[in-house]
Amino acid sequence: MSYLHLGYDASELASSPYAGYFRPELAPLPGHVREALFIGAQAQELFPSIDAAAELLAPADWPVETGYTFATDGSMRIFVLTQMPNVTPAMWDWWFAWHGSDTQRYKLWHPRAHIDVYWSDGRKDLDHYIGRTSNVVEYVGSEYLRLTIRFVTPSSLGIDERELKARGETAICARGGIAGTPLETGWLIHHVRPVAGGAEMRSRFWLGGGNVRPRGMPGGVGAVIGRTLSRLQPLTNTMAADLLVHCAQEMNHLGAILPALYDTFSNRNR
Amino acid sequence: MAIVKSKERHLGFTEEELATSPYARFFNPELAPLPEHVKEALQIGGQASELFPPVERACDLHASGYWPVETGYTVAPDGAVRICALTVMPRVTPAMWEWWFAWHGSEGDRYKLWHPRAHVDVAWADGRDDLDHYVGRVSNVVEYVGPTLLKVAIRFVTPATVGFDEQRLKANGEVAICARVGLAGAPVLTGWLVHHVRPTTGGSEMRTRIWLGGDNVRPLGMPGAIGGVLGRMAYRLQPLTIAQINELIVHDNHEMNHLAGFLPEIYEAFKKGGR
Repeated sequence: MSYLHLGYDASELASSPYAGYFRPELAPLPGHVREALFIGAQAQELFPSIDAAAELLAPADWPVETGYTFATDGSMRIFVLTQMPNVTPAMWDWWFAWHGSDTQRYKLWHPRAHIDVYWSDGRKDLDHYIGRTSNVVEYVGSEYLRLTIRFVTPSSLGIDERELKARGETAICARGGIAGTPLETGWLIHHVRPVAGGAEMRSRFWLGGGNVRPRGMPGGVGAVIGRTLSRLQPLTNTMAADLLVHCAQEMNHLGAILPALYDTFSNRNR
Repeated sequence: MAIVKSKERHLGFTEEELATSPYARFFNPELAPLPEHVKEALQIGGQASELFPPVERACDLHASGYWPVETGYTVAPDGAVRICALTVMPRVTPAMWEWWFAWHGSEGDRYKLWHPRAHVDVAWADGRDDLDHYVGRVSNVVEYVGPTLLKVAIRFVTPATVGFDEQRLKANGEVAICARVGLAGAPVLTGWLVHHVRPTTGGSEMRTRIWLGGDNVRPLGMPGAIGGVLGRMAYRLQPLTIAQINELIVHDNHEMNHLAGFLPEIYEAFKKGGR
């Protein structure tokens, strides 16, 4: 295994089949993201909990599509909207399975934050992600994090999968944790739905507080342990803003190259 | 802007100073808005430390092109804060900055021109007001950074001290103002500062680099390993906050943009002066 580092080094730029898609510069943050950062934390009632995930299927937007809050259950909730011309929900489904097998793929997504990725099952030849755990190493803000992302079915969060499919939408759902700890600390959903000329991604992160559970303890005892442990590390505005920026950067960045990647590397034409 | 009328140490120019100071016509109490790239950097917040070379790599400023981040900051794993700030300065030359750093330090009224809303006082530690160089001297400044009034000792060193090739700088018509910075009166030197100024079409650009805390902290006169350990311990007791980092970036961009607006004129008016 090669050394851990940010971006593509000279030999990777020369030899990687993906080097043509590695763009070290990020576009400026979209205006709605910058406004959300200026606004700062908002009322928790505007940010439904994970229990309301099914409401993502409602046609209307939520009260806040980009912003964050700190809720009374001790959690922070961070929502981010990304507009993606020429992108389809199917491309994102393909991406989540495809990128996790190869660090050089993962780095295309955020050239200034992504370090490493590998599947816990060691398999690189599968074309699905649900039921598998992806281990990522990345910066969020200045923090260097090792995270576990255990993908789950949309229906396990109450989202009607037949309805999603009927509408041509996708919902990438996962349980997130800190690698090397016995805790899973949050939930994430990226709901992608078609819009005129492309797609929009509605990202949702529910982290800390009532979302924390010891791995493999979904019940009430786990909830108590999770809430207790979550108090050990208070969540800060900086953490919420850093994650919001990170998500907006990576989704916008990949959104711009995803149609070309999908065209070149997916199996759809074979 | 004449809020203070006494002779006490104060921000800005009093009515009397505005009427009598030879520099009054250069005192502009209003600051221009922050440039857009600075506003975005403040919103992005901390970034990956790998994008910010440590002070040992300061000489990489020689290379043409730009660093991965020219305006932004990181908090490195050792707790050190690394700040980069770019200021674009039409009509300004690197030589003007070289002149400014020697000239302004002799008088509080000159120093105040630079940042009318933050600078309070300045004096050379050697007491000499008649010299036209700054390298090897210590400038003691009193200024607000954000809401905090600080006394900072700026110990100017040669560019070679931080690894620059001075002949190469000169050949390229560039300047690198380099200093060790610390809180005045305290035994702990808290960081390094470089303002690299290079010509561009129509003017020049300043690439400011500030390395604070973590491994950059050394007690005075203890450059070795023991000094490093003591410095890191001292820093852990009082690390910089994100708010303070933001205040430093805002302060730097305000003062550099502000002075660049009239540096060609004040240089023309006073370059042969000194006292």
